[in-house]
Amino acid sequence: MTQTMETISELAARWAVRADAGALGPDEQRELETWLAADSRHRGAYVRARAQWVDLDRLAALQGPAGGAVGSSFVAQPAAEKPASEPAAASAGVGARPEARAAALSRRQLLAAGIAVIGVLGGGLSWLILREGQERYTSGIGEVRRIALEDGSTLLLNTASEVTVRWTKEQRDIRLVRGEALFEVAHDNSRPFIVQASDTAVRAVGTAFAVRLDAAQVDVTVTEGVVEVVDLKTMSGLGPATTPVSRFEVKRVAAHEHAVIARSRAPEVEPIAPAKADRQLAWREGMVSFDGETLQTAVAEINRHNRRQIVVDDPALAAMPIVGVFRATDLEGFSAAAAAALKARAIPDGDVIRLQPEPSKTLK
Amino acid sequence: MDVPARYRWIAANILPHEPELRGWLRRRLRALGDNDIDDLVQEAFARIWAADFATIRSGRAYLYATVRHLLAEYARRSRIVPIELLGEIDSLNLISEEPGPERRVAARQELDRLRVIVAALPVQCRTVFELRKFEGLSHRDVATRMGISEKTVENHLTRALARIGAALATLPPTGELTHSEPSAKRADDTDHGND
Repeated sequence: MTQTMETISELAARWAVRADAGALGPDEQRELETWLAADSRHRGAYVRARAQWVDLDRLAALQGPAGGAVGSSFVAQPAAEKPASEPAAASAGVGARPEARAAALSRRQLLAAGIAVIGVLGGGLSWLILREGQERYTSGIGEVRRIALEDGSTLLLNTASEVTVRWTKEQRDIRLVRGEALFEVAHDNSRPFIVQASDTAVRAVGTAFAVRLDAAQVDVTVTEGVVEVVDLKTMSGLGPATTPVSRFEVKRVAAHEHAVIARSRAPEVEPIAPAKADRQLAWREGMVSFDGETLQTAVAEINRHNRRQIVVDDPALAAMPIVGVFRATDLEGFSAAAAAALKARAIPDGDVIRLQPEPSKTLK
Repeated sequence: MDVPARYRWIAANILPHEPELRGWLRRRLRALGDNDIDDLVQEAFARIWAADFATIRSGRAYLYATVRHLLAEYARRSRIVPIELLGEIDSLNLISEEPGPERRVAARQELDRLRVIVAALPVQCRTVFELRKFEGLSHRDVATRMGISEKTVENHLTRALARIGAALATLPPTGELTHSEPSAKRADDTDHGND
């Protein structure tokens, strides 16, 4: 039909990139308008390119220690900071061939790094109490933020979350104030990485794990390596450094395991299938993923990521299972898909979207 | 919905279905060349952009309906689509009525594919792209960091976006079409020119 297609796509890509650079100047804007008006395909290609550019933001969430090498010496590198005494865990991922980047840090290497945690425990618990001169990181609703910490670790904040960080010679002292965060910990034997969430402390040296703080419980999901979970509720009267470690409830949580520390119960550790862990951590890519959870659970999850909220009043509808992968901030898309799948209607109602059972019949 | 939100809507609701659509068009409407398919897709995006998204229940269904409409127009106007293939256009209806979210390729898989595509970019192009997209550096900061001009940054990003966009649109998700076509249609997959 035409031989200019490549040109249209490429021109559209160029305009999308220019828009990404910042607001267009008046001349550029006029030039763009002229081009768009010349042919409806230009508009379509431009819309498509802009949407693709936006879509690529999901890639950013992938860039942790495992994917973060990026084949570029410009980028801060957790692995690069590892002490020379740790050859197994160090250097992996640095200068890796691009196509091998995804697998740059092998499971085994990270496991080797993480296991060192065990030998470190017993150095006293003063890390529980210190607090001053800290850094604070927050994310807004619907935002997933990646933060490179000065020790080379990476912090990925899920929606509406807050973390404080404090560095000392002895330890890396992190506190999850609210929400959920994924930690990809740069290996440093001399300074354990400790995340405290409510009454739970998670201790690691070099590993990757997520901590989620809810009203009722703390969830710890380990994706690489090993961490130790300390249930501070078991502390007798907060006696600090003098309290022997053995008095605390300490659980070891390894890769592909998940620990639940509920308010009123001892920590429970159970295996978690990699597929399930991936689903729980789908927010890394800006997604939420469900595999048969009830609509109620799914809606609670998606609501975390959005100011506007979905409301399900009908209990029978709320109990229906949901399957699918959804963009976390796409409240409309989720409600439309849920409505279609469950024969329900999504009704915008001011600040909320109501999901209601379809009335028996009569649609145009 | 403001304009950035509209791009996000397109990204979330239309883009995921493009590879499947292209695959379908390529297989079923062999009279169409790649350029024709590009034309169709671009026209479809232009039409969808003009729509009121709030009224669209399923992006997938809307995309297919739009394409069907465009094909019918082309067919009427210019015989680009041989008339006996209009039956195929009708089968687009069947596909488009299925709700699709759970069939979406898993996010993880999709991202793995993206990684491969990005890795295949020329080194400097890839570095520029990664600094901008992964590290969140501004165009100017990327230029400073790499000691190149902002115009060069723009060129690299343009190349990266064009290549990635084309690769994502062409490489169909795993499993592709077999499970999305009406089963009755699959039996005569190789023999549809029977009138």
